Amino acid sequence: MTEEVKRVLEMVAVGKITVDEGERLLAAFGAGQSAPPPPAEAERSVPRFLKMEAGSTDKNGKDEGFRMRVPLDLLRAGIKMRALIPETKRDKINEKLRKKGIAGDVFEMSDDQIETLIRSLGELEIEAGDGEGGFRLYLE
Amino acid sequence: MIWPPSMVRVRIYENGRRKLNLWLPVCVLWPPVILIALLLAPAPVAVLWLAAGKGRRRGAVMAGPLLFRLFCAIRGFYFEAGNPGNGIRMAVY
Repeated sequence: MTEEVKRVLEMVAVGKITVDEGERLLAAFGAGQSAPPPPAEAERSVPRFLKMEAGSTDKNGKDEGFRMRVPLDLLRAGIKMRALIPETKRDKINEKLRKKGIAGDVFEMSDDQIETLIRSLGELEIEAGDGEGGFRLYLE
Repeated sequence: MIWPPSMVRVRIYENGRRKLNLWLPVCVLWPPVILIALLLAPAPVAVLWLAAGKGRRRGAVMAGPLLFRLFCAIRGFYFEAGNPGNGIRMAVY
């Protein structure tokens, strides 16, 4: 609550101004305020599905293709399945991933880190194709 | 709250007509699955004892819940292939 709002409320409480006058004053203060801040990262819409679409036109001019919608919860659940990998094998897996250029311990990723990773994928969109067919992958 | 899939719908189209429209009530399987899960509930204790000292304890304990979560996550899956006249569509609700 801002200082102005507090002051108006006090004035209404002690009877210096009426409720209507207080309302008008608050409206006047509100008009001068700046626009609300943009939503925080956590409040932004979180993608729920990974969508894949591919299509082409056959010799007869008919459109053919496939469309798939995969819930991202499936990805989350899949990542959590790493807990089933025996601890004795984890070092070997991390070592092989390191050789492929993926640094860090993938088994130590927290739920928050996984969520951040999925959120950052929200902007992902892959589109490829020519006049006869194409492929599109995106999150929604 | 996580819920397992309750219904699967499969539709097959041929020459612009719907040849098959199948609603599979997966929810019918819930009661027997719950019963089996209850019967197998003591099993992780035995698995824990057998897996002791092999670094597999966590996996043994978490296997059931993780597989259940994976199964629940299938809800919302949709697949469509073919062309508008001929093809297959599948949705998990």
